Amino acid sequence: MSLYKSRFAGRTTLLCTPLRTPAAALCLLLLMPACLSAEPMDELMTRLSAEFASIQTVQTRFVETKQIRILEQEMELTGSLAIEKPERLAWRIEKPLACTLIIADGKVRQWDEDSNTVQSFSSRSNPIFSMVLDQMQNWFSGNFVTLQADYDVTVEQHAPLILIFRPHTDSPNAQVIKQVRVTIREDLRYVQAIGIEDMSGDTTLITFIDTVLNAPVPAETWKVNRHAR
Amino acid sequence: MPVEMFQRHKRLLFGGLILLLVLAAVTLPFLPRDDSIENMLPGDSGIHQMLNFLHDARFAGQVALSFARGETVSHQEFLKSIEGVVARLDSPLIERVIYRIDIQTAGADIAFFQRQLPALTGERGLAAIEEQLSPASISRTLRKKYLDLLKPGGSIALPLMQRDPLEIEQNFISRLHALAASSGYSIEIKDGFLFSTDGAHALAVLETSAPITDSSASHDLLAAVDSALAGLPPGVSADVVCGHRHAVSNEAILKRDVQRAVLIAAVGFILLFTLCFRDHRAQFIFAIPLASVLLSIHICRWITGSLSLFVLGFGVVIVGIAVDYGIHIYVAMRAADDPAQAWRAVVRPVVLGALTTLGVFAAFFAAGVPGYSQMAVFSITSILLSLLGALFILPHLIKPGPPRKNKAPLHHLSAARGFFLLWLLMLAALLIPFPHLSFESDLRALDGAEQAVWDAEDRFRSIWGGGAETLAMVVVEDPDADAALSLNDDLYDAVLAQGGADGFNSFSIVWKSGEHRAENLARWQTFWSPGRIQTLRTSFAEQTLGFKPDAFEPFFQTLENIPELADAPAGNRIFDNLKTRFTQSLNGAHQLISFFPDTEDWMSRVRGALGESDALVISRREMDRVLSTGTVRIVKRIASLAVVLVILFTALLMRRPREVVLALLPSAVSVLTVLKILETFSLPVNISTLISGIVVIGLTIDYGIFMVYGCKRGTLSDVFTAVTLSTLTTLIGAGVLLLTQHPALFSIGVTMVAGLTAGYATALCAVPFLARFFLKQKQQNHEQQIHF
Repeated sequence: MSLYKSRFAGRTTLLCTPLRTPAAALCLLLLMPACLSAEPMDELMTRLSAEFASIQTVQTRFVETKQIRILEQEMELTGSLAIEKPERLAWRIEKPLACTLIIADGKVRQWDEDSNTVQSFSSRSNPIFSMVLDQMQNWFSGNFVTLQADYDVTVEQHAPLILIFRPHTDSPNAQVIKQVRVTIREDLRYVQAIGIEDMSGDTTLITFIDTVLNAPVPAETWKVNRHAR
Repeated sequence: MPVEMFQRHKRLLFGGLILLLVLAAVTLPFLPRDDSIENMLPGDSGIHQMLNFLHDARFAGQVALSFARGETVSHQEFLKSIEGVVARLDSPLIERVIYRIDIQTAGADIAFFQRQLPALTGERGLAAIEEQLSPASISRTLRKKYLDLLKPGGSIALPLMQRDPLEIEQNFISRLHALAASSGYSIEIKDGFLFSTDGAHALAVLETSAPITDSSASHDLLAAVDSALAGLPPGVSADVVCGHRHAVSNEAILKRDVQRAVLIAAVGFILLFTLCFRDHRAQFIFAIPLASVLLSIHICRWITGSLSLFVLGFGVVIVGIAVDYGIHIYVAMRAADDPAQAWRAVVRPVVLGALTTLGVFAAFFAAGVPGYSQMAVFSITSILLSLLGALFILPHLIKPGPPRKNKAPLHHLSAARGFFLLWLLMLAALLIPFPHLSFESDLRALDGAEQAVWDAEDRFRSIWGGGAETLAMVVVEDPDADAALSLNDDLYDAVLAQGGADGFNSFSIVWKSGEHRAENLARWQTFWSPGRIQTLRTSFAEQTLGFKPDAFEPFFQTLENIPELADAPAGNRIFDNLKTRFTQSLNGAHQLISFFPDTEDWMSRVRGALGESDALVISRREMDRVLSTGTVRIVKRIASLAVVLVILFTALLMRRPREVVLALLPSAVSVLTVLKILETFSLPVNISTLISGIVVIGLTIDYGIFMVYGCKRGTLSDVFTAVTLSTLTTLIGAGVLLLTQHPALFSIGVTMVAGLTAGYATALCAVPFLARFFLKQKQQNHEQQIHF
């Protein structure tokens, strides 16, 4: 509870009171979701965004599972993600095929082991790709307030906190995405998992592991030719 | 003397003349003008064809608005301010404003081209597809698709992947994208707006019906644009970049320069004559050439049919030249005991001087260029009228002055020797090292638009890139729209055959003639036979990447369902945008314009593709070359003829070779000086410089002629006075052009001032000194006094 105490300091005196009995602790556990659900969604998003705002860098590994309608079997990818605010992102897949996507200084650089060539282009030169990149930046950086402009948000579960984002019907995203399910870590510091369900029924689940926040990102992370299996 | 013939009708003559001048002055502002510099360009080189096309081209009338966002303005506020400007753009001259692209609509627009791909894919396109159908190639392609699925956003591309695994459509869309982006500008789409790569600038392009040569329409258009921009909020600014700005700015500067030059010259002349002669009637010396120029403007307009401000600006110089005749007449007659005798004595050199100048301007006809002919007509008429006025009208206006006083010697032989040595030193400085110059062929060097216009363009280029300036164009045309499309298709195919068309941006990529589309569709149907499609299905099924058997069914369905041949789409914005850029209707002909890099290699490929075709090729590099060689050829022609005529007239009237050589000396030195000055101050040698250089020859030879006459006849003092005054007046006329902003007028000023100063110095320091030895005068020269 000390964690909640620190994260929610000042919100309620109850949280600041030392827990004297297991019954009190149980009551508190039961009350906690009620406190969260009672909180208006805008405020929750603002608060979460504020929590995420303290994050300057993210370095994490991930496991991604994809169920795609044109493939016989589910795909499982492993790789790593690095983010440095305001606008650097490195996405590396190690298995089943190595490929790298780096966004830095307004440029996108792509590499894959098949072609073994680096493609470089402006992040704004392709409107569709630009939209995908914007979405990635928003999801992985926790820009929930920004996402609210395009999505309706509901709370599916409170502990851990799971948010469901459904695109507005008039949003371009609505043609592709049915919903995005975001699981927030218990410490509310970062995303634990992101699940995307397409309109076609395809699903993608990205689970983040070994996440390190606010540690300096090695310069070589932004070099496209660096790739470790 | 002949002048007496007017004595009886003096009142009638002056009354009529004054009435004529008043009429000429009143109607002057209403004379139509043609200020385009093209009038001065070589006419036998196709350059006019290129320039006419560039002037008439639809894109010539476009206006670009480059918006800049300050740090205090949010992105949304910035977009709103652009929307506001577009809403306020209220002018019938503005036909369309391109400032945002709707990606949703763009998808539907692109789909049309995807459906029509069979009709737009030629023989070579099918050959390229065939290469992709080998099992190895298919395996490679599908592995790439598998990899794409791993990448972020892979799901979004899935429908396209299923429909187009071989990237046949994708390759076409890439070409379409390259075509749309081939404007030479770096543009990115952000929130549907056209943004620069730095994200701090947005672009709006106005398609207008205002030709840049239409001064009135240009003024109206710019007023409408400026009015719309006036409502921009603080922190948002905009640069307006268009040909209209140049036209309006050039006109304003030329007008201001000409007015200022005329005013300063008039004050200068009046002051000079007042101070030198202390006789108010001396002002008639100036008034006669001024009136002559005024009448000549109308005569020239009547003969040549047009008149440019550039030629009018030269009128100030003409006044400076033509005033010389009056000075010589006035100086000779006023102090003479027998004015009639003095008149007769001075007529010969005055007429000779006018003849040499007329010879110079008559040589301008040899150029065969309208602008030069206009200048010749204007100058010759002005000079003839001034000469007639000086010879026959001015004498009536001169009152006898005080008798000639004993003149104080300016210099004796020793002083003359000193001046001569100084002149020799100057000559040595001019010759060592010999000046070397190159011709400035860039027409923009003669564009006198205000600095703010150039600054805005520099900013624009640094933000958005070089635009179409780096591209050459080839234009095919036909009265029939489909026939023009067919010609364009043939050209594109021919360029493809020359070694690929990457970089050759043709409308044929997205639209072809009806006949060619029908042929392509039939060929596509034959190519995608059921057997070939079945073989392809088998190849896909044999892949081992884990794709489901029906994964690419949409692709096979596309192959099996051949679309109907469609007409040009209505309301398709991509098609409309490309059509606007690549096609235009002009003078009853449908033109199709293709763009390609303006390099030697590309030019030879396109020329090879064109073969015997008379299609117009427009290249900035080519224009520079043609302009440079053409102008140099013309100027050489004019200069040769002018020199021949000047020498001929001089030789005919002076007869003795030594006298002719002496008379020519100031001209030779003045030419050298002009070249040296231009080289020293890194000034360009351009059309203006060359024309005024030729005029300098004609003027400075007058100094030589008069000085030689003075030396021969012992009237050096009077000649010295007259030549000095002549030089001063011409220098005033030309010198005021040094204060002008317009580069064409400024170049005239520099050339004339440098040349005339050197010619005068030579006439003063070298000719009398050398005359002592060459002409073997009986009179002792050291007794000759020169008075001012």
